[in-house]
Amino acid sequence: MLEVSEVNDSEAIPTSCGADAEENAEEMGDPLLELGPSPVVRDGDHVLLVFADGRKIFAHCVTKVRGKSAPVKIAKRTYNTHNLIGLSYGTVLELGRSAGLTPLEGNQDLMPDPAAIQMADDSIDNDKKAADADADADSEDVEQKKSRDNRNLVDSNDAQAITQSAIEQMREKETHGSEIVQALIQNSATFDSKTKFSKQKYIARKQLKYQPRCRLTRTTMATVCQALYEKDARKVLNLRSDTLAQILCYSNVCAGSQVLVFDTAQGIVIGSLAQRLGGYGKVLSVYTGHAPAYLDLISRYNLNFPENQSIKWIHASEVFKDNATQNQLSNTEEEEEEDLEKKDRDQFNWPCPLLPHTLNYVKNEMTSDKHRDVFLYKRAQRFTRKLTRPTAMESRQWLNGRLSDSLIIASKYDPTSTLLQLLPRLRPSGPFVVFFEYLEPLVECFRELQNKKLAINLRLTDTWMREYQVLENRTHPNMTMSQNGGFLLSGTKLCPVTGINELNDEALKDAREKYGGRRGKRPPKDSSSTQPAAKKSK
Amino acid sequence: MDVLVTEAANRAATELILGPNVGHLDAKQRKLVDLKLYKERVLPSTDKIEAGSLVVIMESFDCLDFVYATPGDVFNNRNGHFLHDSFIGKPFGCKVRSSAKNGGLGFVYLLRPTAELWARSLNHRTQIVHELDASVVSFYLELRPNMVVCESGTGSGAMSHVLARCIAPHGQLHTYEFNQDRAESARAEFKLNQVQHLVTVHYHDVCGKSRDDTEDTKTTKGGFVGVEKQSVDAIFLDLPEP
Repeated sequence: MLEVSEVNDSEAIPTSCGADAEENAEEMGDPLLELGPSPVVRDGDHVLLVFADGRKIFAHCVTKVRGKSAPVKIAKRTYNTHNLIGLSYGTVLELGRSAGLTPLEGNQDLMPDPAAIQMADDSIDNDKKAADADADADSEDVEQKKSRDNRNLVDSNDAQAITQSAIEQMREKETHGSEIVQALIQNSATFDSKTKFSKQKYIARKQLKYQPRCRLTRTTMATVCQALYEKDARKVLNLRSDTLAQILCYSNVCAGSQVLVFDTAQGIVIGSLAQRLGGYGKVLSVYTGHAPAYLDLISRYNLNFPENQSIKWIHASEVFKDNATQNQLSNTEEEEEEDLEKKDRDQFNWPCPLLPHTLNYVKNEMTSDKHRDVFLYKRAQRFTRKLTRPTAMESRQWLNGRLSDSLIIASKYDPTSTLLQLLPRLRPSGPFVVFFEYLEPLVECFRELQNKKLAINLRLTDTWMREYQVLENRTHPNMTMSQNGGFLLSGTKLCPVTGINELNDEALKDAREKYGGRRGKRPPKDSSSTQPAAKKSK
Repeated sequence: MDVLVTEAANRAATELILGPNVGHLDAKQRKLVDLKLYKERVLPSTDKIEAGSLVVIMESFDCLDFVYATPGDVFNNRNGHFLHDSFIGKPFGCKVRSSAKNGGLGFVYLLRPTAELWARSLNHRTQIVHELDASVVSFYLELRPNMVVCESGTGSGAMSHVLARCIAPHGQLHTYEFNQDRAESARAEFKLNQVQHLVTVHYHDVCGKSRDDTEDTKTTKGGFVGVEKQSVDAIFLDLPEP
């Protein structure tokens, strides 16, 4: 339907007719193969800037258009992002005051200046040589020289000779960060008496402040989830990245499956699913309220056209029916309703020619060519959006036409009632995963499922994730650790009809008598009771 | 006037499908901008067990087994005898009681195979990567459909199935195994589970330490043989000496 027609500059050529398009489809093969993630930042991409101290900031790279730029705010300064378009992911950028974000050549690392650290090593080596030379001297002296600790440390602010205003001046004059750091080191009175590790830590701290660098990374399911969890875990319902990893795996989502999702964790689950499915398959996402929410966060995942189309929004009223509305619906006639919105949509013939009054307006009343261009472009955009948006009846059809392959719930609402309402939409032997911030409601859910024999293979888990600092001789867990990554209840739905296959009481009794159950036959009840009572224990 | 309208329409369509400011389109890209190409792609659902399909049998919470349903065959376990013919035709997710020999006392659940259930039910030839680690690995590797992945240490193939699920339908998984028996059984398994179009098993030692039996002191070179340079999106190593 939406096709690019061949347009020569001078003539209008009609759009390709149906036959041509089909030929195209055949020789194309799978168009999704062409639309994979690109190794280079494209116009309109969202990227994630990762700093050495762990800060993660989202940026939107758009070309500079008047009134439409999207500068990124880092540490109370704004930087333009249009120069990032065309760089490959993984480049290290340096933040300069006037130059903005500039890419560094070669394979520079996030922590700059190994030379400064080398200098620290050198000074240590010198000291060591000095210490060795004194090896013949008194053992006491050698002990004192070797022990580098903070016993002589006085915590007044006068160890640094350069004043704050001097530093400000240097910064304004745009001296390079590495020079500032060098100056600070040389003018520090206590620098030499620090231990090797302490010197490295000091240099790293100064470099972070005066030579800030960040790395340009892709926004993928892993990086976005981590960034949002670090920024504000409560907003994302404490959905830590390893829990999200488990959700995606245990629900068995793969290309071509239809997943039913109810997500109020800012859309992280929806976006990650869309990326995992890659445009194959459908994500039926349930939303409450007037309009689908979380769209701007989902746009951060840089989903291409088929991936975006695979997310189908379904209003909560279609799935969550309480008794009142159910009675109402059964009363009204709702069988062969015509899809009026669809009819409306189908009547447009792409590329939509102008109606007479619009034609009149454009020809006679629009003054400049540029004006006309912008008007027609905006109009065409509106039409593309309209033509690719599914109608409410179509969504209903997808929901009801086929049972979903997997079910994922990650919301702030009560899990038991949500799960019980959504479980009928899942096909038998389909995996479901319920994520919740707290444990107790999931325990309730577990018991409900067991009592009603709705599911099997039930597992209630929570994982423990610990991060390590990895440096030479200093590898150890971080001082603080995340304590709550949410809880997961996963299981497989049983077929409602054949899943409960119990023998009736009579047959059970018969069988038990004849075949004796698992532990063999029971001894006959009328055995003589000469056995001592003591034996009956346990 | 029509020219202008068509031009604007083209620009809007390109922007929607290929992204903003793509610039001049070459012929290949122009072909991409056709809504007819982006139809719904959903796998058909298989509800009933058919002859030859893989069924995961769950006896109890921690005891899973698998069977390829063959007419006439019998599955025996501690809960009784189960005729395959009683499976075939039933929907997945049902509970089957054992044959009359036992009075129908024992029962098992029949489940549709997923990569996790497969990992829990297969015969361990080597220690496998369990589902928690497998999920975190495939998450941090940022796997998406149609990627190329290299894996070393096929072992029992549990991780390979998880990776293959992530990179369907056109991706490729090159997995390396230095034990010939295990490589052969892995290859056969992938074929039976119908993922052989996604997985290639290479019988090769990526550490380069194996010796050729015929020539005593010759060592083979390591590395991922058979894969071009810079063509791989992700690598997973599960080796005794990483």
